[in-house]
Amino acid sequence: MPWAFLLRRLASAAVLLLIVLSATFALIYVAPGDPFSAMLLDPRVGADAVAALRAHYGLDQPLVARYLRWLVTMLSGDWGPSYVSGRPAFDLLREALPYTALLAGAATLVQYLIGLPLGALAAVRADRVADHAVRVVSLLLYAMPSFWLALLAMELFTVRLGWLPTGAPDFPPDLALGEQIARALRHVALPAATLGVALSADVLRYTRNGLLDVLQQDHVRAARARGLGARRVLWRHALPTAAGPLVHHAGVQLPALFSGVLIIEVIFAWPGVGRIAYDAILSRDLPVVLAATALSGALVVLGTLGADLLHGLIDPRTRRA
Amino acid sequence: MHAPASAHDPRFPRLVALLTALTLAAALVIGCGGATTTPDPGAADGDSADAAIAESIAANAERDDVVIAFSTDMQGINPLITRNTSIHSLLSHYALYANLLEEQADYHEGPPSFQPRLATGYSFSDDGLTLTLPLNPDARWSDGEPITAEDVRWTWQAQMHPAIAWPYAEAKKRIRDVEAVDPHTVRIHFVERYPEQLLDAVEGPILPKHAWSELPFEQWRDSPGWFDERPVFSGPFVLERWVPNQRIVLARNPQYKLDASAQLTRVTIRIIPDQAGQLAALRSGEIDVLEVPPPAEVAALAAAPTLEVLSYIPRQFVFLLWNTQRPYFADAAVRRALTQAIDRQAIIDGIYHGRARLTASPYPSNSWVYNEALTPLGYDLAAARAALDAAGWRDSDDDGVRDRDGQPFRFELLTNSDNQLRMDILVLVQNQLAQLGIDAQPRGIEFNTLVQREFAHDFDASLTSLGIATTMDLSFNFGTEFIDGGYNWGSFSSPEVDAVLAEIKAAPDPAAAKPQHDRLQVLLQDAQPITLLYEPERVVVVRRGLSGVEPNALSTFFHLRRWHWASAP
Repeated sequence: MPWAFLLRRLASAAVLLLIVLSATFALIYVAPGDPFSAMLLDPRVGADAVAALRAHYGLDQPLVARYLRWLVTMLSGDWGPSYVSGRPAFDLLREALPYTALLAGAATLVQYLIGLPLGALAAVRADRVADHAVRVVSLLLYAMPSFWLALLAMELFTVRLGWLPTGAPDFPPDLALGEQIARALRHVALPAATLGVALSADVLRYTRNGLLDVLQQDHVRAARARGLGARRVLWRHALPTAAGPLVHHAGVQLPALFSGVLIIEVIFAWPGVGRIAYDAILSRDLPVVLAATALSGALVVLGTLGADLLHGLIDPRTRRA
Repeated sequence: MHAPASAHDPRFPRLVALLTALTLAAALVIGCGGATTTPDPGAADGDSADAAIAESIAANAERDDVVIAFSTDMQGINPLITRNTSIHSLLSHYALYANLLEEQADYHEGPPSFQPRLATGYSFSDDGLTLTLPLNPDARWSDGEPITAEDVRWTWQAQMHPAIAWPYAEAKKRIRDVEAVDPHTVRIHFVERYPEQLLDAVEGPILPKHAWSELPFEQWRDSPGWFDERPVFSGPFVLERWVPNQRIVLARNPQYKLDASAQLTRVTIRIIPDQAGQLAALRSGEIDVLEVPPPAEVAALAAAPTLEVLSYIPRQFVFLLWNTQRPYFADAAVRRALTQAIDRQAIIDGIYHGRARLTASPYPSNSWVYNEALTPLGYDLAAARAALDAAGWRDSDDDGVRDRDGQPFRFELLTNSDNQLRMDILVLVQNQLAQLGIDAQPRGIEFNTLVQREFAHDFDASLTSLGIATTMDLSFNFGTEFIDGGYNWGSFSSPEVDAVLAEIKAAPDPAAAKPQHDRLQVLLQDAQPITLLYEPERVVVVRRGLSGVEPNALSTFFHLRRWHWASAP
């Protein structure tokens, strides 16, 4: 295992994250208004109380002092209190993370369950009816914004058919584990399917293009020449070769997955990290915005790194690179 | 067992075709149906509507719970350290806590009255400086402890503590002391006599000293979770469960004895941030109550036999604010012309689908202060044109835009970009003013930024709204002394208006100031510091059969403890 390489990647990722977070801090600082401006629209709210709240959270301090204060809380792992609820930003995200993990995991599963076989079909039947049909579908999915797909799905499956609910499942204290799992799956089905379908176009096209290349390679042609069946050629020889770039692609498209999660969580009232980040951005809740940025940034970096390592394991040629 | 379909399987083309067909069909069926015209799945016509309504009521007759949608979550159970959001208004005033007295929404004939809650009544001393409130001896916290005068005194101390920074502490500034005469008698001493004494005295819920006094006031702001572990309440409901960002479950408080117990045993609040998600949840039966649906959806919701649309006039006015420091808005005649040039009825019909009305006053038309003799300035392009010509604003260089002294009548018209309806209004106003040769340039900006720019007078014109407090005091909005620090963002200044505002404030009895309120509205109509666009109507959609809702300007949930499901017809 190239530990030095791994440590170098992690160190550079940490520096990159700090730069991103500092830029986010500065951007929110220079934007006019603050989280407490709107409170003054209530005629009963006193300016003194609002000034005291600003002082409590250090918003009356100059940029450098605020930045240093934030840096200390961030390095101590606390991330500071939310301006809105007063709770530690880290706790808010920790509670939301399992929901995002469930949604992102299920969506990724749907994405590959749709994208892989359809992409393979399009490659195997290149320039035939099936290929054209698959490419039309992928174009449709590319062109359709995920929020629009979400609205369609909700209208059809929740309102018209009444099959699937919106929002996260309710787990009363005395609910059996089996029922909890069943409820979780039923509630995650619609948002995960929506996000997975929206993202599957990318996998579909990636698989198709990758396989088209691989299918022309010598070892695949040799396998065909040896008289192996088309199915066996595909599954034993072509797909494993194309799998490496696909795994790498899974890491690279993590940012797209996270931005998709944000939209889907808001529309489906799914209480994940995206929802928390969305609310925090609207309310200018800087500590929570920064913590969410750090969390998603770290996950993207780690995901990309993991994908690189996995790619290396699958495809030995990349290890020397 | 069927083999899974693989890439070589001949079923794949069929699967692809099916997927494509499904996508297109869903898009056609749903998308082309149009969100604004799609009726509820259960919608029915004619005679069948009555049967559908009866069926809907019967289906819910046995229920003893209700599910309400809110877009934002609560922040904790201590009302002194939470924000002034609508969900906290519900929880603090109508569900979890009780105030000393409860302000009523009966301000149609005169100033509002106050009904007993924790206090059974009230009386002022002869000099008006002392208010005595006898407490209800049956009042109990949800853990069974009695609610005493010590709770009231300790709550006042918390409200005034600088480290807590309670947003409404301003209301308590003229209170010198709160005295616990005995366990069931409170005496509040004021530093001076003024009209809003009672209102200030009862502002804010009373908190449980026995449960919460262990934590020093200095640590409250940094320890919101500490209170959540000590849930003690005085209202008709208690907090049964809170799953952050998902749901809040309230259960009937068995210790509540201030009046009849809540009729529902459980109230669930679902946190659904997106309006489309809220509508889907309402139409699919997941929630029973939705506040403020999009105006374009109201007609379809009203047509659904399972739903009922209620409405009320909020204490709020929506207006175009002219910055009178700008040369084009300094002249009252020009501001009147702008009002006459804007077809407000077209905004009401086209954007609000009739769910608003023309108004001539910032006051609610159903309030005791509203001047019935006033009529709104009409839409009159010819009069507006003549007034602008007379004021010297003419198109001297034939570029399509009026000008005066070389300055074109061109300004930026702001609003908050997250409100699509307001953005639509800006475009409509732009088109209407363009007919007069006025170049209004609409621009949406982030809400906090808009508010800050308005407070700093850093704008030309903006579309905004403001609420009106129980005191019906407009000095914050139009008084010269409130140009800095108040809501007089347009820097409007009129000695006549200032004088009338002073007379209203000086009146010993608020009701006696009715003539001054009438005069004030006439002066504002004449000066047009703002163009009142419409009087809003606040819509609440409830599942049919849910009775006793009766929303009012104080809250949709004012009567929450009386909500119940109607018996089957």
